[in-house]
Amino acid sequence: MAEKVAVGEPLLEIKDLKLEFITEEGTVEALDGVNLTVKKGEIHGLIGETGCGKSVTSLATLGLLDNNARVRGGEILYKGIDLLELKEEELRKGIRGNEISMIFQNPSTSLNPVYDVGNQIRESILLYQTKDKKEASRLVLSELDRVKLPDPEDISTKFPHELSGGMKQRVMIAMMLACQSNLLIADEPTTALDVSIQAQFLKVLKELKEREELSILYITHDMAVVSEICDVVTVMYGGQIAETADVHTLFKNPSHPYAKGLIYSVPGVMQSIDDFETIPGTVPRLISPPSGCRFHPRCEYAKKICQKKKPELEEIEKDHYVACYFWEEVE
Amino acid sequence: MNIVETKNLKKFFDSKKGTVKAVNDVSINVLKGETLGVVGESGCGKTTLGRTILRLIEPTSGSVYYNGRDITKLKGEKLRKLRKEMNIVFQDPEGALNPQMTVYDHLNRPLVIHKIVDSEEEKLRRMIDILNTMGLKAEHLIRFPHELSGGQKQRVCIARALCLEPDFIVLDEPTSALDVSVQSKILKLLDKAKKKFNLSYMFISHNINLVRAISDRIAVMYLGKVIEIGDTKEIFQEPKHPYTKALFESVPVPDPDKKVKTPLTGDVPSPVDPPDHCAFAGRCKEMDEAICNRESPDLIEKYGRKIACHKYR
Amino acid sequence: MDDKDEGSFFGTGTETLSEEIEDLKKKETSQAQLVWKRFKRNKLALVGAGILITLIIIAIFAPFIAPHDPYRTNTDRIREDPSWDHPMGTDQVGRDTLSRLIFGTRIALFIGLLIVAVSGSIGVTLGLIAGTYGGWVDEVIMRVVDTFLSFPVLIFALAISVALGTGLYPVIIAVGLIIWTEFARVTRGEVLSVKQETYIESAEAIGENKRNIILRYFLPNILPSIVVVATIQMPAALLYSATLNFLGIGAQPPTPSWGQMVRRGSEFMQFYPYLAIFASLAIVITVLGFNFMGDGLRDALDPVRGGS
Repeated sequence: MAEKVAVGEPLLEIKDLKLEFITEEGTVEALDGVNLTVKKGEIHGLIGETGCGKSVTSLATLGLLDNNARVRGGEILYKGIDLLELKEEELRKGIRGNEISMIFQNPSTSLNPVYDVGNQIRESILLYQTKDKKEASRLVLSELDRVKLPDPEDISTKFPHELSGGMKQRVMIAMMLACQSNLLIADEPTTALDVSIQAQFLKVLKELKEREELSILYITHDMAVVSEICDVVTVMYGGQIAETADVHTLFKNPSHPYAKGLIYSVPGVMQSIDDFETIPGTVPRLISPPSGCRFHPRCEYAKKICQKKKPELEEIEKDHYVACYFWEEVE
Repeated sequence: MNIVETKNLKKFFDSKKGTVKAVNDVSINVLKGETLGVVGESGCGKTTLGRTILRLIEPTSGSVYYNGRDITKLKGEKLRKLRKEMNIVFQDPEGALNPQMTVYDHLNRPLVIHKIVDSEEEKLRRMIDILNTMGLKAEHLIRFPHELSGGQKQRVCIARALCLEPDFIVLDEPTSALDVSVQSKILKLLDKAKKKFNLSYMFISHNINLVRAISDRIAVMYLGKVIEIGDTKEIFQEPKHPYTKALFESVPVPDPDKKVKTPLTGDVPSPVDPPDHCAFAGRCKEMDEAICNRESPDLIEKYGRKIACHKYR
Repeated sequence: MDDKDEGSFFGTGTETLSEEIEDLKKKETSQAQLVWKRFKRNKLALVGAGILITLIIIAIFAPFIAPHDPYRTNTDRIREDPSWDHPMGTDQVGRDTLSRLIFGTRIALFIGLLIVAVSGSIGVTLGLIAGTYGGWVDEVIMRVVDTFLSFPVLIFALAISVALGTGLYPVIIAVGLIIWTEFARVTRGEVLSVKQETYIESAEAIGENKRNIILRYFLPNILPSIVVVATIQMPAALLYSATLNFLGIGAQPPTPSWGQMVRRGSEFMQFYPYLAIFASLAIVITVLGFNFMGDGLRDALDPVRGGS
């Protein structure tokens, strides 16, 4: 998969993905027609509350779902190839790591505790960049430098437990750069980090995006982080896409009732507790999800049609998609 | 009027690596009816401070005053009586409820211990009342914690803390384990309860945007010490301490037009055997070689707030 | 979970209150009912419970169930193969094996339950004290436990019976003295882990005293683990006492006991295996019964693990 994708062209396209989990209690309809496009060189935020399907979407992309998951339709196109059609072997050799990498909330679980980090990065370099061991050792230092870790020579001899959370997270990024991945999926990477460390980490991501045209699918529930680094944001609710818009539009002018409720309940957007918006009701259980638009039981704009038919994602202005019949009524 | 005050409060722990000075000489006060926000990065001692004030942890030295009365040395029955007046809501609602007790038991225990009600009828009335106010129903009384969602569990925890009608509550990151939309509901409930009972809160959080929105005053902690404390609006308008400044600048604001410019560099230092001089000196942009690496600054009154920095001597 | 402010804080009456309380009473299921509900979902546990109930019934009604007098010898019918008259054959002095096994149930259950009950209460109490108070108390108790654990079980038991005689009680004391350590060890460990839980801190914050924290918070949460230990130790106690019995300590002939029967049977195993086999089978079935039921009980007592 050597072909290049130009900046601004779609790198990852998820089209109408439907997915369910078979559990003892019944079938969980985890994703119901998810559409998502990550373009080359953009940071795409994927937000929503617990159980909205944001992590499932990312795991499906990498083929890392549990055995009880069933794909019921749709496709996941990466550089035009449907990842759902690939075999496990092909995914492992051709996609995971060298094309798409993933980092999680807790970097400790992804690093091998018995090797120093230099060794772990060198291994990736030997796999994907060069066979020359000396060259690889030199590249290790440059990768660590790329993620702005101070004193790469010292860091490369350290074991994971000797590094702080923020450093480990940056080592994870260095490893992914060593694999020369084009797409990074980051699932709540800064939740466990302190604010100052988070800021340093976000800065590294932004620089990589600008300098190396890296694409990032950034999954989080932290709206402040989203506004800080994302170019485009997709809001998910109950396994459906509610709205996709560039970050300015979304924060200034959310058009889906759920997106609006979500953003106006964020401290910082609202300056005082009296202004906080609350969305009535709770997140639905996806074993028996509401019919039609899954948000309708909690929606103040809901009408009969919302119960009957799921609203399609509609492009209401350029690159601004909303799945709501009554988006024009939302202020 | 102070509801809670600490004087030179210290809490040290012994660890294999050395002495952890979790709370190191903290003198602060919480005014009656206010929300005091306590912010800082991990290891700054904010959680230990809250627990030490409530006497859930024994202080190493210093004293805690509640309504002007020294409660540092209270023991046994007298200390347990005090529990009626001050309480705590924890960060993790999953762990804060006994998995073997129903919601009824959780609300029943405090009422029984402090002999608040006389009849079963009155007790149930009170329980159902407070559950309703917390957005829960009477039927939740017979539920076990694992049958509730995270938000519901936190509501039960708050109901439990409130059912004794305390005057002071430590809120230790009460919403950080919850989703945004649930968080805003819980915050509104807390606000409502505060007005109703004329409660005073100490709101501990690492979420600076959140503390800004809900606190009257704010205390910034760094490595076991309070380094700046004062009116929330004033401090956010013009942070004085270099750490406060850097911290606020590092926090992303949920506004795409405002980006973090210069994040704080370096790592949060370990609270094990902290230096005798200003602990922030190593990361400070305005560090003065002459003094910052030699002496620890005192928390002094300046510009209508208190600051611990050599710059403002 | 709506956010509307319907009730106010305390005081103001809700008209529907009495209705709500009535409703609650209807819906309320007792703790025991819940445990049973979870327990009966586990089929193996039901089998185990079935085995144990059957054994208890057999033990109680032994005189009515047993086809023959377990003590009556008959020198004409020694080591007879199973027949209609003697479904499990006869032993070396012509006593009916089935009847002896049936009466043996009494001693087996009596010894097992007594050992586990006595050593369990000692062990759990000491474990609770060690875990709750820590410090030198913990240190002392745990050193004692270590000391007991380092004793070779059988030699220790033999030594005790030499000192106290060969009856039933030396066996109970000997095995009990070894088994309590396991209860103490597990209880202490569980207390130490429960102690870290936030709900303990929360209990202190509302003013619970030590005693209530132990009884209402520690004990219910460590109970599932104690049940597991009990169900592992119960068969162990049975096996130990059978082993000691096999070595000649414990219930003495002619009292019917399974261990003695295995011992006798093993002497002529080559040409008459029935006695040893049937007696061993009785031990195996009882041990399995306890294990199955213990598994089910552990899950049923734990609301999180057992589901609702």
